[in-house]
Amino acid sequence: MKIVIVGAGAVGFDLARAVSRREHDVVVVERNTDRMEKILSQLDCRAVAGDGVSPTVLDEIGMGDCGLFAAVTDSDETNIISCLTARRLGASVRVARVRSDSFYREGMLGLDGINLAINPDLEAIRSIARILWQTAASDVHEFADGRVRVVGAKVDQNALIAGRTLADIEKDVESRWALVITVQRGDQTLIPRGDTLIQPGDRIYLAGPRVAVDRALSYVHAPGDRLGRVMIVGANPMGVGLARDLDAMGVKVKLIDRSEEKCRVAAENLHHVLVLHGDGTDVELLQSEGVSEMDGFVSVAGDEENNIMACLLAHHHGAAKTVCLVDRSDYVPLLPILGVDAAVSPRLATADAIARFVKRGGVISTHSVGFSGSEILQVQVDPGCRCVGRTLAEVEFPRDAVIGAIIKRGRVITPGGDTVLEAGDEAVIFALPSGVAAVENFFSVE
Amino acid sequence: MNLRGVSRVLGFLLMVASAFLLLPALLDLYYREGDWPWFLVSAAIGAAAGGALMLLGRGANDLRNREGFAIVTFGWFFVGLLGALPFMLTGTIPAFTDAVFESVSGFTTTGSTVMTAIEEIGAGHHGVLFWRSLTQWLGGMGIVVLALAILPLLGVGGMQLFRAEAPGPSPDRLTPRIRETARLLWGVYVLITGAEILLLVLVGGMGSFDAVCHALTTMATGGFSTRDASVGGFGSPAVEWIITFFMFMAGANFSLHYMALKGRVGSYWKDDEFRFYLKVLLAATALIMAVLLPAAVFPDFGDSLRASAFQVVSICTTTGYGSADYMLWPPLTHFLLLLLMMLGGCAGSTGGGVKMVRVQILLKHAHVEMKKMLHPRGVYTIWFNERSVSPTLATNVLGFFLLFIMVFVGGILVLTLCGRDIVTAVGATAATLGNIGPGLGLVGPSCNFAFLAPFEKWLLVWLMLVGRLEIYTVLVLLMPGIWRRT
Repeated sequence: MKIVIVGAGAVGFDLARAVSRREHDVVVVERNTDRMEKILSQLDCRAVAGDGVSPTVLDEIGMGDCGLFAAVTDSDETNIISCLTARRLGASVRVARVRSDSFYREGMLGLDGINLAINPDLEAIRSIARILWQTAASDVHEFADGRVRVVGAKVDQNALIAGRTLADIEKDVESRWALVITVQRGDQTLIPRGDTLIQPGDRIYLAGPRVAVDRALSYVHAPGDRLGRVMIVGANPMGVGLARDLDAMGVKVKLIDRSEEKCRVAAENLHHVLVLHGDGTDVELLQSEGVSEMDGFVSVAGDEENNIMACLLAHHHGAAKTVCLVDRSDYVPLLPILGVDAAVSPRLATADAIARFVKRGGVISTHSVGFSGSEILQVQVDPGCRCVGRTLAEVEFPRDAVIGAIIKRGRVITPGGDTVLEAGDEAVIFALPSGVAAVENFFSVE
Repeated sequence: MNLRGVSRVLGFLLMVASAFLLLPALLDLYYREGDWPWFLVSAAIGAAAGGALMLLGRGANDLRNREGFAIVTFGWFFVGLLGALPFMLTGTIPAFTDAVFESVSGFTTTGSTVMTAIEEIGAGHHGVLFWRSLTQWLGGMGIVVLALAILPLLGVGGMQLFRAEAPGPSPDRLTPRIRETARLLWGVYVLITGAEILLLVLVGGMGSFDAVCHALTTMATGGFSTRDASVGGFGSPAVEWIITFFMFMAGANFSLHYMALKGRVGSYWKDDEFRFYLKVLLAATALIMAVLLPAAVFPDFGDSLRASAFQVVSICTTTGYGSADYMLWPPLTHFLLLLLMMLGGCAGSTGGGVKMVRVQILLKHAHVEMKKMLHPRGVYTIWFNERSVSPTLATNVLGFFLLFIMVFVGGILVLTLCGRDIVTAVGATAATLGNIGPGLGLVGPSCNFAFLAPFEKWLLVWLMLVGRLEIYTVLVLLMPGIWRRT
């Protein structure tokens, strides 16, 4: 499929990387030549220098056979106009990145110009909220209306499963319903086998029915209290949005920002939230506002080095769980080592949301796992697929991937060697970067 | 200051007020009491003065804030003078000072009176008593708002005038056009007044003349009565309860009544100010009951409840009717009533005083200051009706309260300088500045203001205007800068 991406900023780059890995024909339109060079040198795709709103440029690329048109520049206006132009020229599916809230008011988007509008801030807020609510987890993904959950969590020093092999654990842990689908150790990601030893400090991903995963988490981590207090650094739209969501759910929120102006605006929009003017890395402020009693500490300010520092300080002074907004993947491997519990990236969330539009081989949705390039895919089994009617033991499932759960006629099943795949079943699959294309091929129809 | 523009609008206001003098003339003809020529003469004088002012200012049409303040303040004063004419000409209140006091007390919906033996006068001068009630009714919703509703003459400057006259920190706009808003408010006002007249006649068994006069002064939260003993003179529990209810309505925001008439009855409960208003009234009634019952002031529970509720609502909405002489009650009740005098009704009502919304913002401000002690780096805004109150408005309220207290203290100071005792001085100042009517001590509910010296009366007239026009509008005219030509 031909995919056209306008804008090669952070989001555009991630999106291009994700879809080009799936063997699509990707064309990136970018004004800035430096960025274009970077795309050309690192990814297998075509890059066109020019303006994404210009009909001449778009016509030259050819919109008629374009399967997905994604406008993801920094400017909402550019993205929207770009989509409208692409529609005139015949692009069938158009996606725009739109950040301004006011565009989302009833009916403004979703008009025939744009098929999907994505707000990176909103995507990030949702994932942070999910992580906070699942107190032990650092990463939560939901599938099939939340019936299937995939949760990443760090293994505690004195957790029940620490220092044991998976085969050993399965013998006496009664909740066999949650599967360990991957183990992250340092910057290494493994597909676990029966003899894989779980070590304290590992980050493991559990998949299965919602209840089973939540129960299994108690073996991984000392169970946390309910989410009562959260401190947020950064009164930008993301921080304010998160504060509003948490407040609506009865969480006591404190919001800190360096800019007095932003604080004032936040205070005028958030009724029950305590807004504090100050620096998120000011230890005295953090301590006097009771950082040690916080169930969650989130730093979403503009500057990611400061976000990391704020989280480290909060962790050091006793905040139960720290979540950090990071957009540079270079830092991510360091975070678990330093003690930051979870990292969230709006640009990755955006790229994910758009990539979900690129359907191939029965893939319903995809979620990125960290910055490693690993993905969780939700796949529907097509009647024409080779695997239909055969057990998992018989088919040759790709080596770098593992099935975490199967939804069969509405019921969630933990897969085993004797599980038979039938048409209409849905599978939640974890795949290493090298396994993504193999999984898609496996489920595609000849 | 664009004096010609001011003069033009003032003239227009006088014309409007003059037109209303024809109503008591008609009533007088009906009763055949012979006062009608005097009403016509008054109307003619008003119309002539108005016409002259309009001629002086013809062609001028550039109104800004500063003109708005001058128009509203002088408009009210001139209309007050015009309203005094019938009292003097008919000989019911012959002295000039007294007549102006009565008239301004009427238009500002205060209800302090210098009339003694009202029933005697009323027997031969129905037109005068009706005019007395009508001044309150006209003043209740506002003469300027009325003028806005009737004619489009005021043009673009209308909002400045509306703002300068409307009670409360920020007037609601029901519609984009100010004239339409003024009409709706007056429409609601007329409708509820009509309902009260019907109820008083049909359920309360009142005579139609008394019912009309009382409905006019209830809805204006004025408090003039046709009896010497005020509402208590009718000796009817049903009448007292009906009037209590309508005083309560008059003290609430008329925008809410408008919403309710449009079918959104829930807006009452959604309004922060209305809930606060209701709670204050209930709490005050309960407290006064708690004082009255052990002291056995009334023979039974029902009487105590009726008397407390009536007095609390009457004082808090700044109406000022009496059903009993509260000066005979234990002193604690006087203090509670004095507090209520300061509170006043809701914004956008016909009541006076500081207004519930301002009190709430003050309390929230104090609460925020306390929270700041706990969280020195905290950034707070004050929330009202699920919206944050702008810092400008909050400061405006603080300033208002400060000025209110200063004027209040100043009034007490001058009255005590004149040799009045402290209770009377406090009572008279609170009663006039808050547009209530009866005060405490020598100006309590069973007494009146006739015995005061002319100077004191003029002071109280000024306080009534300051109170009705919400302090700023009048005081700002004392600043030299406003008179400069621009």
